[in-house]
Amino acid sequence: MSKKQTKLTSLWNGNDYDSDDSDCIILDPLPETCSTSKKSDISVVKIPSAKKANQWVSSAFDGFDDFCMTKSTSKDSVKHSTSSTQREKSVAVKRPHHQVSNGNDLFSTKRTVTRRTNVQPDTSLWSDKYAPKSQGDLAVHKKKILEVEQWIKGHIDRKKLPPILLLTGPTGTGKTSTVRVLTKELRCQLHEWSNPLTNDSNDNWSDNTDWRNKVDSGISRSQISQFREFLLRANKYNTLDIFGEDVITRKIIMVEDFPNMFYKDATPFHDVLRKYVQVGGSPLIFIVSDSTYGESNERLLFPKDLQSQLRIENISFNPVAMTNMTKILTKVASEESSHGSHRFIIPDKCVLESIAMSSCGDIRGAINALQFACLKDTIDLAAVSTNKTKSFTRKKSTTSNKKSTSNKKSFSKSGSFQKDEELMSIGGRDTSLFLFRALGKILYCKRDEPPENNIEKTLLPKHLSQFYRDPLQINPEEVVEKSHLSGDYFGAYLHQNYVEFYNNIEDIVTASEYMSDTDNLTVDWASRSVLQHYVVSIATRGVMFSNTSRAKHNNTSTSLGWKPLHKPQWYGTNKISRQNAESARYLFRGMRSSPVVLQTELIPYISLINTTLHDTGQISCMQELCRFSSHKVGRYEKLDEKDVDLEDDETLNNRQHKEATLPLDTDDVISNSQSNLKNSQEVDDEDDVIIDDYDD
Amino acid sequence: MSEEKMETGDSTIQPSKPESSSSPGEAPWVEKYRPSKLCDIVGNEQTITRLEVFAREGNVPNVIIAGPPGTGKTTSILCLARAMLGPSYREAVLELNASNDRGIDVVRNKIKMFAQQKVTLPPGRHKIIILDEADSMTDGAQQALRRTMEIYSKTTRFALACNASDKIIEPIQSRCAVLRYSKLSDAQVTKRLLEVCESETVSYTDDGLEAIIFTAQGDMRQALNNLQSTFQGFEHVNSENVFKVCDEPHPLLVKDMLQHCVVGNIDEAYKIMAHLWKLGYSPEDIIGIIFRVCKNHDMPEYLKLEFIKEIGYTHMRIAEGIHSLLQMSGMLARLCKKSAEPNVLAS
Repeated sequence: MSKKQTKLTSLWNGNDYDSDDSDCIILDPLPETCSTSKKSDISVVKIPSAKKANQWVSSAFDGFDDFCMTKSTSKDSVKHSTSSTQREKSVAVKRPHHQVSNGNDLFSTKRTVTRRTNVQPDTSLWSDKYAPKSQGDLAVHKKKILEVEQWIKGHIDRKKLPPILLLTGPTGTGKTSTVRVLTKELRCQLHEWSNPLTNDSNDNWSDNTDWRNKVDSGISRSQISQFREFLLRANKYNTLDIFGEDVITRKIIMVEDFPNMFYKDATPFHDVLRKYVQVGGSPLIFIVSDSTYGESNERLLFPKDLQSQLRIENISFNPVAMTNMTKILTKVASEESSHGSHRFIIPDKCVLESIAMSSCGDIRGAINALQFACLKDTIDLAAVSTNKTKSFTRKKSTTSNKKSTSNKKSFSKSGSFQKDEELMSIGGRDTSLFLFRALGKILYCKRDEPPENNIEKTLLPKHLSQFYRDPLQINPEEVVEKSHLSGDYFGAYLHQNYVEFYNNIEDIVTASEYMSDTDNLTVDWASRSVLQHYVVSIATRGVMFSNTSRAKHNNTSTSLGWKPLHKPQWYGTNKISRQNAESARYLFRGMRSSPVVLQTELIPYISLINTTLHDTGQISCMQELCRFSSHKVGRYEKLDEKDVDLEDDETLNNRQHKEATLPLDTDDVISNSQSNLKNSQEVDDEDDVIIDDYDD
Repeated sequence: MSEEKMETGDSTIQPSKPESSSSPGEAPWVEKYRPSKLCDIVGNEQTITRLEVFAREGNVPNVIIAGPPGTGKTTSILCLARAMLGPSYREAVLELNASNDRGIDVVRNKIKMFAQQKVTLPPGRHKIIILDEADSMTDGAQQALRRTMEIYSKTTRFALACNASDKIIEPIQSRCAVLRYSKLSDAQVTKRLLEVCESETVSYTDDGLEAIIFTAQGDMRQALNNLQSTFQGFEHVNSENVFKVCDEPHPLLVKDMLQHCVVGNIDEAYKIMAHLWKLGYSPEDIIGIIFRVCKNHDMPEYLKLEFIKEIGYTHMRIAEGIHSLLQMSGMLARLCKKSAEPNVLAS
């Protein structure tokens, strides 16, 4: 399809396959598959009976053949720049050019028509359609963009050591988009690795296609060797100057999709990297997503010592700030409602905000959630938000009342609590909003007046009368179930937060006893899944029961006020400790001790007796481990990074305090409020030690 | 779970319409009464209404549907696919579940090839890849999936169903709209059960249905299975028969036992336990039902908490392999001790 047409059909043309954007090429090591599929094509033609026998399977093959050809032809004809190695091979495979291009034309004309008349529904995901096109569109903080830009600028023209950049950060924070946008603006070429199809498994998935496949598939190479070849060769040759445009010689290689073998054993990957550094070439950018659960591939693929050895620079992205996110969501929603194929009323501000909040700084997830929520008018969701933010008025609801009368009645019945859940059931990937509401229910622990009639049933024998509690307003098991979280995870949150809600040290003792009971129950991994239900019950009920200041329905008058809730530090701490263990084991190989011994005994002593260490890695590792206030240092560092986002955070913070009928919290607020609460930190830090054993 | 494995074949493609003419025992009722339209699905209206719009409009984003078993996750995906794709369902849907081979190479090859395959569809419609029980996919397979999801988003959309959304790696969650289904309420299950009872002319008593709802715990599939097996086994649905079929200790017995424990009457409590033991129930079954009954039993908060704790510890021992009546009676003794006066214990 021609350039113009794609421009018409999709607003963002940086997308991979259909894109005609010359700056971005995916080097799928296709030729091999191409040739095999070509052969298998012939065999299918020869034996039509085989095709009949398993229609589904062979049709998949046919389609695949078609696609292969389309893809490579479109690459040849449209993209003036294709790496020469690939060209050679793909030329060797003769293709029925005319057929493919015909089909292609038909397809694209049809699509332009749809776009013009604006009748047909459009076919792209919003997250693709509204992908950033320029620096201004990026939701990433400007300083981060600048950092990456400077790195690229600084390294693109230098021919010496090939620099390596590692981008980390939570998923959906714009890592890939930043690189894409920047390379485009700096007029560099972006080569991207994408995992190839492996041939040898062809026979695996279609058992009926007989030996022919095996014979035809030829020699298959491992992904690792293909990856190595890609890295070492991708930048050897310039693209050909076919269309008379100026050839872009500056190249950047991006790897996001690591060959799967590397997750099991990263040493070959490290070897490839070392080789790459020796051989030299274009700047290399790796993108690795963090995970909030602490399991990160960064630790595996790029251990600290390798980073320092190869001088890999590391830029880590923060979650997208709330204000940015809302801004972008508003833009997308208004654009889509006025120009999109599907008409809907622009969702209310509160709806957008709650979507943004529940997505936990993940812009792509937020846009996906928005697309889903917007399909129907969001009036039902807006109704949810009214009871959260009182500032919101009925401006929108009057206009849209007519439209969704049918839904209205189902909602007028359901209570506000249920509405919250419903909004959440559409929300993004993060459940924290749920969670904070559920946590609030448990921690604030509201009680009812005891009913007069069946008082005996709830009464305890006299000697236990101090354990009497008024009936609970809620059923804790139900609350947890509605939070859609696993018992372990919920327990960790409770454990992080319960202390601040108590007035009495004795109460904390009882509560922590129940906590340790839950921990004890889930020690054994084999029975953990069964016993998790007990954990939920005991942890929630224990926390609620132990709080004597809330034992009666009427003494809630001694209000606790609004308390910030925190995310459990366990996951982060656990991640750090594992990271340290790994680097310690690597750096102090000579000591031959287990990581625990290394961390707790050997290295601290080494630092005390003041021996001279020669390895800089060892020294830095020692410093890291023996700085016992490392908790705070870590947090301050985090705060510094956040400082650049400060204006956003502050407005967010203020707003949250104002509307703080319920303890809502986001990541940013958490880090800020944590640093403000240095007094309670001592307690928290001790908690961490306990949590360490929790649900491991 | 059982019937999900049957879905891979052609059986799912034909919308299974309820036909009351068929003889009993022909098809599982879960299949027979599986909704074929989105509007027939019970519960989670918020999400379902939106899915209905997608079925009309097309261009559905990638979705993850998470929720406990028996809430209609797979059914809603199938209904959506059927409504959206209509006659081209056969070519344009690839369904893989845990029973299929779903290692990395399958994700790499089968899914990728399907995504590359050309299917003529009306504009705004996409091929759909259904990954059922996606939380059982390995991390590696999920990693391999993320890029595929992005590259082929122009032609192919993914629908994942799973029980726990946190088992799905975050990059994939970020590429999807995550929809969360919650457990069906007892009223919702009852409504559907009554409908089925009517069209199958099942003779039932109210306590029979109650028993089915108790055993099903908000799982529609299990409710229907239990209803069918009770009906086919005994031809009458009352609570006796239901618990016989489900092979669970009768919760009323357990409730009595707990009440004896609350008042500290160990003798009576032990009698019931010994009775249950003699009936041949396994300790896991007994302890499981004790926990479930205890959670909903009307008793002082302190005792309930302590009871749950003791039951939990006993369950832990049972899980470690100590299957003896001694453990169970030990638990009863500890439960009774909770409310007993200190001087009683001393004497």
